Amino acid sequence: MIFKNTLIFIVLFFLMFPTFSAETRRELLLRQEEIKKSKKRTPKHHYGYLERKHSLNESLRNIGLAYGITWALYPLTQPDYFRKHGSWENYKNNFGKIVFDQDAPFWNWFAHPISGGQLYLYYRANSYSRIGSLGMAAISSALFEFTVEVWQEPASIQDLYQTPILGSILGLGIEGLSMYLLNTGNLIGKILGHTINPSTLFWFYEGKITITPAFDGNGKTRVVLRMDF
Amino acid sequence: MIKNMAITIFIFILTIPEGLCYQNEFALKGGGNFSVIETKSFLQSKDTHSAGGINSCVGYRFTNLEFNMLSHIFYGKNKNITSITQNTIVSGTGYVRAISFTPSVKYLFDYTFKKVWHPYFMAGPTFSQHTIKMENFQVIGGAYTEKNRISYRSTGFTISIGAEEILKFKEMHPVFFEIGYTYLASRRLSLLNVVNMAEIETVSHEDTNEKIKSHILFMAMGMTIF
Repeated sequence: MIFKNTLIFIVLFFLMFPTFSAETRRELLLRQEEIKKSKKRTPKHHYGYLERKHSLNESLRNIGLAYGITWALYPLTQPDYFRKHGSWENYKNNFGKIVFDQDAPFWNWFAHPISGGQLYLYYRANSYSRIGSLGMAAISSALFEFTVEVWQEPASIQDLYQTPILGSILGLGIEGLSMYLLNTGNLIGKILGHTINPSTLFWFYEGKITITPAFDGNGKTRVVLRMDF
Repeated sequence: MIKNMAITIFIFILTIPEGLCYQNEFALKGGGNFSVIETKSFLQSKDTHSAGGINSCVGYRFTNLEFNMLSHIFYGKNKNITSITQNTIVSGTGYVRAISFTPSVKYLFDYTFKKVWHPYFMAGPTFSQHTIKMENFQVIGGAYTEKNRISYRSTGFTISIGAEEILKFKEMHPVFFEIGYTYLASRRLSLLNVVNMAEIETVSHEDTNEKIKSHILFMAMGMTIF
């Protein structure tokens, strides 16, 4: 008798189970929808770009910093070639010359646009407009070509054009992707975002807004946005 | 008769007042291109091949006039080219990559086509460099290996007609399409040696006044990026 009742109970239990399961699933789905609506990761910072006017002094300072960095980085990127082909004699001979270079596509279509892209992002971080950043990147690139790279070879027409132009197009893509990654608020996104757009890490980056939730003790909440520039 | 008609049509187009798109601004444009290239080189060799690539352009637009620096990069495959540099004579097929720069003047007509497009005319001198990596080749004289490349610089001109979308702000990314013609004549031919990716030596070079001539018909399309 006990065995029979137990068997009936088990059968009924299993017959009920699909209904119970469907209810649970519906509840779960509804709850998930609520989670999607309400539960978002609250980032500590919002990343974006400001656009403002710059004084001549400020622009000269920004160009000067970029120029200093290129002098520091250039020998480090290709030390052997720098030592082997660079000299003051070359510098004097190459100064003021413009030629079509014979560089491999890797340099002209990949390396130079990447450095141009980072120049564009540096000026974007300093709150220049997109076209303003392109113009400033062109000035920086020309200074590099005419006064730094002449240590080894004359200034190249391809580099003078492609570094800022293709660089800015690439920089625009990196700008969009990095802002998306940084604003996800998650650690991996932030690491990737800062890696592809390192200018967002430095003091000169003006587009970072700190988001601070505040509670006044009387049941009212607010969000404080702080931007340093 | 035809000349008079052409002048009348030209003046008619110039005098139709319609709205222009964005004005007095710098702009960067970019897109893709497709070209058909006919090259006549040494020993009467002749080759017609197609090539594809990207084009970019930066410049300033006044009201109707635009001054630009235009660049085309294209990549294709030559079926038959002969090159002679000093003692080296080589003939065969090869991959060609080329870059050209055209400081250009563009005139946008006030006339609008279907109320959406502004036709335009563009012209300017062209400076170009072609680099050829020979694939199946015969060395007729001198020394040439797979490590070598042939490069030639050319000058010429480009003319094109096209149409650009009428949009009040460049931030709305107006698109354009154009067809054009480029004529190039070689000025200097070089034989290169690829030591490694960072180092390419010029083995020899010589001035080749118009010995390689190219006629390029191209189609390009793209948009104002910012």
